[in-house]
Amino acid sequence: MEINKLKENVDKIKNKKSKFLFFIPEITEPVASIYEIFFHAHVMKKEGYDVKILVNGDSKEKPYWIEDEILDVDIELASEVKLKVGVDDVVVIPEILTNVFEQTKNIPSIRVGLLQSVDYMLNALLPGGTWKQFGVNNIITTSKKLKNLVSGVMGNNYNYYTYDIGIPNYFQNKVVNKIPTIPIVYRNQNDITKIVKMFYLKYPQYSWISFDGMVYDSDTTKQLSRKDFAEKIDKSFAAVWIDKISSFGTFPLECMKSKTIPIGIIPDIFPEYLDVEDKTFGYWSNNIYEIPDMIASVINNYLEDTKLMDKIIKEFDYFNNKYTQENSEKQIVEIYSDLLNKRMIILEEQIKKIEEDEK
Amino acid sequence: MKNNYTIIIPVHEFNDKVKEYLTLSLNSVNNQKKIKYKPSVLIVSSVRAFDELNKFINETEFSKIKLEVLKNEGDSSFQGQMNYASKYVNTKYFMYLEYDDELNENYLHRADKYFEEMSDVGVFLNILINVNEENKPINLTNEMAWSRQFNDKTSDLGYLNIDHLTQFSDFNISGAFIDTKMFKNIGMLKTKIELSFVYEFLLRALNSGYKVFVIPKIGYKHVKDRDGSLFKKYMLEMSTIDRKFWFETAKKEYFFNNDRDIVKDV
Repeated sequence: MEINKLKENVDKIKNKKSKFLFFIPEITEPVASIYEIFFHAHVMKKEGYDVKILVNGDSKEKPYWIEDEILDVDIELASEVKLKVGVDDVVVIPEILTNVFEQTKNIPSIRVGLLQSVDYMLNALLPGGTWKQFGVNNIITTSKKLKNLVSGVMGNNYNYYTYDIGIPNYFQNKVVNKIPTIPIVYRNQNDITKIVKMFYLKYPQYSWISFDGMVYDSDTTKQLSRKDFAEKIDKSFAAVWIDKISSFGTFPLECMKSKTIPIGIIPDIFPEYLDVEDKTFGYWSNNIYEIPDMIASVINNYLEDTKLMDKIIKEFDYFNNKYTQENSEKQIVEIYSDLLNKRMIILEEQIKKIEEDEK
Repeated sequence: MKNNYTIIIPVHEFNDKVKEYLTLSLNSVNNQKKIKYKPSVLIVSSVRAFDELNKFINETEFSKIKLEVLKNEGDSSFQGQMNYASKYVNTKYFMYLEYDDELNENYLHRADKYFEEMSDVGVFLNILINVNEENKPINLTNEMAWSRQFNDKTSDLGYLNIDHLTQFSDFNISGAFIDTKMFKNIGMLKTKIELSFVYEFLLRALNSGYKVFVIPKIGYKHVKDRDGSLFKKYMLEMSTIDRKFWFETAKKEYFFNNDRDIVKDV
């Protein structure tokens, strides 16, 4: 009986009949990390698997800010859904949902922790807690820097997978004549208020330059989809990003793909894509009090169309073929295929052992 | 790429100082970056300045521009000079450059990119940086069109409308690219209006359905309040009541395309 069950599990893996369950927290506002989970789900659905997004909350409304092409998977409330999950199925849980790690720890499956933010991971874990205690052996991270940091803290006895985040192709430069407004993306409202006030105080000659919070369409109360967001970034000549606790930071990459100059605070985890010799990739500082001066400098260069402006923008070509969704998709498929293959090998070994024992 | 514009430089008198300034001004056109054609420059001269000016131009080489000097035997006011020169323009746009001002070295290349995208605009203003005679920056002009505070939610940033102009009149057409056909269609600059003739022209262009857009680039370095300049003269010689009169007049006259006689009843 047991051997038949195991053979059935192996067949399911071979025939791409495994289920993929991606947990997410309840969606309230646009967040790159949630987009990324939907992207994983979309990629695996495209591979032919049965994929579901399970919401840890009360609303399963589709996020308005994600494009329809990505939203091709079923969304269910985790509290309501009735699913039969087996050892050949894959359960992916983001770092922020420690409660889900706990609640699902006895479900037999390939359990994966999707780690995009060290900050969220540490906030969610109890002191002394590990993911091992929830039966999680596999960790997917979005950068090598993040992986090194996490393995330094959690140890090397996990299967770590790293892939490159893909920036959607609609983050591109179509606008020739960019306008003097500055999108701002931030985690902490106080930081940005401080920067904007300092800027207007110190540079009253630029008081006509406006900042854009990037939540609503300028002229309406309509909230921005990610595509609208991309269009707005493309229109502007520069953008400010303040997120000290970011573990990767897609926004600067989105800017650079759009030939918009990022001005930002360097996060505690130095973004790997900025770590390229002889390139500055925009304006960066560790000191928030330098940001107003950097904004003024970029404005000056923009208004006068200086050679420096051309040079900075030219540097962004470096990312033309990097961090694409095509590359990302390929790597995501490889990771999940490897997880399934490893599980298949274990199952086949168990079958072999039972068969040998029976002889 | 096709040359889309003609640059008009009015000159009323000619002396060593004018020669020095004019050389700088012409060099700023001659040294434009990234353009692959020769901009056309028309210097429109008063009768009294013509001979010496023409001699100077013939003796000086500006290899990257097509240069011509016109003798205006008619009205030699600023507006008269511009209107006269515009009759010799055969490009889509023309621009007015004061002989003592300079263009930013990237301005013409950048302006071409706006022409490609915005063919429905009648007047392309630019952001001027005003400097004093020692070349020290004082302030910017025309940048207000890009201010969110200045624009209500229904108007597009960068475009002027009549409501804006009734709140704020300090827009400058120096370095602006003006659609030649439009300029002629709406009656050119009015010679009978003093001080506020630029303001009146912009109001008239808008009222006639043309778009006025501010290119968000510093295209032009303007020497502000230079001794002997027309606007310095207005500031020194015109009373507050007179100044107010001309702005009020502009607000009444922009409905008319013809250059009507103004009855000054103050």
